[in-house]
Amino acid sequence: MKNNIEKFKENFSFFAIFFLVFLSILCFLYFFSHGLTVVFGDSKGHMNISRRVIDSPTPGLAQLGAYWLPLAHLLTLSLVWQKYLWISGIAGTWFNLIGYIFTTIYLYLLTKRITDSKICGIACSLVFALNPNILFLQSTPMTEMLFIATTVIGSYYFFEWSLSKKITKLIKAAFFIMLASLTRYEGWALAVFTTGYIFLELIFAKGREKTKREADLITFSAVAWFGIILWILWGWLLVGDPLDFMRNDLSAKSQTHLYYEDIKATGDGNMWLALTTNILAVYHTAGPVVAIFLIAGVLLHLLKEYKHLLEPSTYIWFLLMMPFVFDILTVFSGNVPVEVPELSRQPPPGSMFNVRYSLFVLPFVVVLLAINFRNKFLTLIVGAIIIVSYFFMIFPNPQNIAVLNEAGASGTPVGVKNTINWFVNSYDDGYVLASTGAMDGLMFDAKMPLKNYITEGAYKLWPPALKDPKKVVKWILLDEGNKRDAVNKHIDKRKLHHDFYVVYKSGTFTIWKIKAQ
Amino acid sequence: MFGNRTITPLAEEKIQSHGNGFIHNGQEYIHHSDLQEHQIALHRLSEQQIVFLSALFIIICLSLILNWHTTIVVLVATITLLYFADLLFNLFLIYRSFSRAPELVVTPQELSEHVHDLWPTYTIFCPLYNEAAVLGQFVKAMSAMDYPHDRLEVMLLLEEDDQTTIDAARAMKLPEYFTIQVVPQSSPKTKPKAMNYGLKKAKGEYIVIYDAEDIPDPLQLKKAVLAFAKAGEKTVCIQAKLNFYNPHQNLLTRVFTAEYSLWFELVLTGLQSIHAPIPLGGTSNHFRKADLKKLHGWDSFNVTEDADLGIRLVKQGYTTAVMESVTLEEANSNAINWFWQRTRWIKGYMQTYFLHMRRPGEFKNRLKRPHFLTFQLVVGGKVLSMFINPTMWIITIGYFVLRSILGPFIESFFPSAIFYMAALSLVFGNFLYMYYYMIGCKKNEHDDLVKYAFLVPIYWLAMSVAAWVAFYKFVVAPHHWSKTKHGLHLK
Repeated sequence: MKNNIEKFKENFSFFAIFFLVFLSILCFLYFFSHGLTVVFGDSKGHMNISRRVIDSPTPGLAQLGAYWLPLAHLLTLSLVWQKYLWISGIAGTWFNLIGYIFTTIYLYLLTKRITDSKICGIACSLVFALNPNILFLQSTPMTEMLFIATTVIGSYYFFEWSLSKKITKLIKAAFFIMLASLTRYEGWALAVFTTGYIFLELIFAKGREKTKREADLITFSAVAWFGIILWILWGWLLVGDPLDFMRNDLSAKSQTHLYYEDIKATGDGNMWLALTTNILAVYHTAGPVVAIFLIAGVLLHLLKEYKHLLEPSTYIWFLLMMPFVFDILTVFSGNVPVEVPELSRQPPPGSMFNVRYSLFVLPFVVVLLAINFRNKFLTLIVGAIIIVSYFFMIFPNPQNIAVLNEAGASGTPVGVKNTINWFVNSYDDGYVLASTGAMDGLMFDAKMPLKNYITEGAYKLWPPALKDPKKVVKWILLDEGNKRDAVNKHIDKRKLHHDFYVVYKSGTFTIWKIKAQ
Repeated sequence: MFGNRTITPLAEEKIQSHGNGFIHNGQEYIHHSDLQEHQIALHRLSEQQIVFLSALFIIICLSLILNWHTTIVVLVATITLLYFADLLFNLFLIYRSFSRAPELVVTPQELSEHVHDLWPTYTIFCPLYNEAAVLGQFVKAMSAMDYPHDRLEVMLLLEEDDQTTIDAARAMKLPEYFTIQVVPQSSPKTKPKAMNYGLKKAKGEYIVIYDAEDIPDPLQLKKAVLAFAKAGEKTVCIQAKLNFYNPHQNLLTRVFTAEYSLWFELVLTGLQSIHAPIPLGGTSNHFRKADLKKLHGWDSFNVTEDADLGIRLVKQGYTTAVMESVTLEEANSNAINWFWQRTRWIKGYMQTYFLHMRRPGEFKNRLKRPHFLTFQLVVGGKVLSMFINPTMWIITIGYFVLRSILGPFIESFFPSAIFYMAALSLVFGNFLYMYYYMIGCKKNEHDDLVKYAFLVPIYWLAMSVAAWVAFYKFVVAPHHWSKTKHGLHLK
């Protein structure tokens, strides 16, 4: 028996990784087999963006656009050329599975280091790994899991550097924070925080240490900010506006304004509401214990360290909280809405929107769990309570998890499915004019080659197609009820009626076909 | 370049009295070496190389006449592939340098455990020419070496026509383990020829070369002896790391130091980790005399004889190892002086490249590793990129500044795959190379110099100008040794 325990200890890493791989694949297969991999409207957009690089009337890397950050799309590109891997979403999911495994491993390494206890490290990392919403997110072609992975790995090396001051740790931290900043805009907050942290260390340093911190600041910033600078240059090169990601029609702010029209999103301009909305989102995605522990843990840490509030070692732990803080600020500034049933003013009542962002705080909660209790037993107990609480999220109905519900709300309605079926069966040949803002989901679900569509990204063909459609396209997809439909917004309706006729209509949605010559 | 290529060996008596040499084009050369004609850079190019390069030139010209656009596309694609390969290779080297830490390290404990009587005899070569000013500093540095004096020989190699330095050396009260060797006047008048002369006279079992302005780690000789023992028989050369004692003298010395930090802390160690050809660093190369004699010493006609020897020894199945011990040198603080030093180095790299490409098969004959490719990247690619860089930068700037006018024209030379590769090389390549300088400074504990890595693009530009001048010099004066002035830090 003792021998077996010894053997298990020796091979712990192997068993742990095997368990994680098994869990990751099992959950992916579960959601995949239930048709729940590509349910988010955004996930279809991500898949299409990558696919258009090779399957578009104007193929090339310019199809990555300048709004959504490119890392996930570039990774998707590795497999998206294969039609099944594109349509199934696998091309955009494989790296999330790997990201999930590595996030758990790095959270284990981090918390084991903090608590100096293997068992506490395991308990803390399981708080992340067993969260049902995380397990769902890692099974979808979205960017959140990749972002969490790059953030956690980057943060781990940053912590390591803060203790050892080894250059290799600093370079690794900078590299992964750069990857995070190329995955989601929340990553930019990480870059700001970490750079600020080294800057503060520089201010506090004396003598030769000052020179060392100055060198660290430059060495770190050069890499950590490289992706951000490249992205801004890319926008400038591609569309002539370095801040296009903030200003274009597909930007979060533009989309929010279109969606909310005259009313304000919950928390827009109200910091208290922005904060409570985000904490309630945590309640939905990670359970009440985590939400309460988040508030209590932050206060506890600050109380414990109140004498050292000005010292970098106190707030380095808040690094992993930055994405969450960023999201509170974006809600407050009206850039990105988050809706929870308790506070939502947007119909339908009780619906959730963007609550998945609250999962960014989970690694921070894991770290809080490790740093707040000197007593390892307490860490284990609280960790176990959180893990047990997860089971109530999935019982009795495994599909009753918050992010899945949110995804379902943005999924394809039955009416649209009928439209897609009609279109796929009726399409013969020729270009189709359609707006990605309104039709990306339809284009994905139709499973037709994307080179058939002329969209906003078909930079050479889009303007002439809008100006005189009959010269360029044979079909037009239009949704007059959708303000994100750029075709509806820009096309000359007089010409449209003159040269095309409606072949299909469903509500405000119409399909037009060119009149016979 | 196309003149008479035959050489006539000197008469045996002449060899006995003056040293090994030959007559070429009526000119007598005494190079004090047994290297064969194909192993020395007497000729810039071999006959086959002349034919090959001429044919290539004619083909390119004809292609340009027949279809200039496609020809340029092919040339651009070739250059892009080279840049891309170089980008990946350097990334790999830096990664290896960090992940393997391949430098040989000799600990203080190992040094103290070595039995005092077992230290072998050691000869230090110091070739000097018009360097009386730094002689005092050198004698002081050598006197500080922690090595049994009865087993040490410091050999000052002075040129017959440099009476000032000879007089200065003779006027000094040199310790008894110093010897003065006056190298008889002959062609070519180069540092490697002086060292070949010294090699015949050296008594030491081990040999090291220091420049006149060097201040080596006092324990370096002992460390080298133990490093040889650790490295094994195949390692015939131990290269100590070089660094500068005057990095803060001015802006040039700061960037120069950053460059050295990169080269010795990251690139050479990376090359060592894959047992690749290492172009040696001119000074602080340690050898066993027997190995050096087996290798026939240095090529007196090569103005970077160190780089040549580093490649030659790999072709013969040996390796070089980098040792964790530093020799401090003088960073060139004068822009003109730096320029001519750099011109000589690049010219020497060209000589080395063409010399070793005369028989490229030798790279694979003795070793299974792909040294032919690493040689192309480390020596050939390094020089070629200096020639091409300005053109690529002008194209890039032209593309962005005059995009509306020149954009489509420039894009037409870059098919998609090549365009992406070129863009990657441009963006990541330039960034990474600049970043390597920063890491090199960090690793070398030159933290205060990290910020100067941002000036490196200007430095690269100056290197490219030096490369073109070096090309001119390679054609008109291939063996001329442009002597670097030392002791500028003392003024």
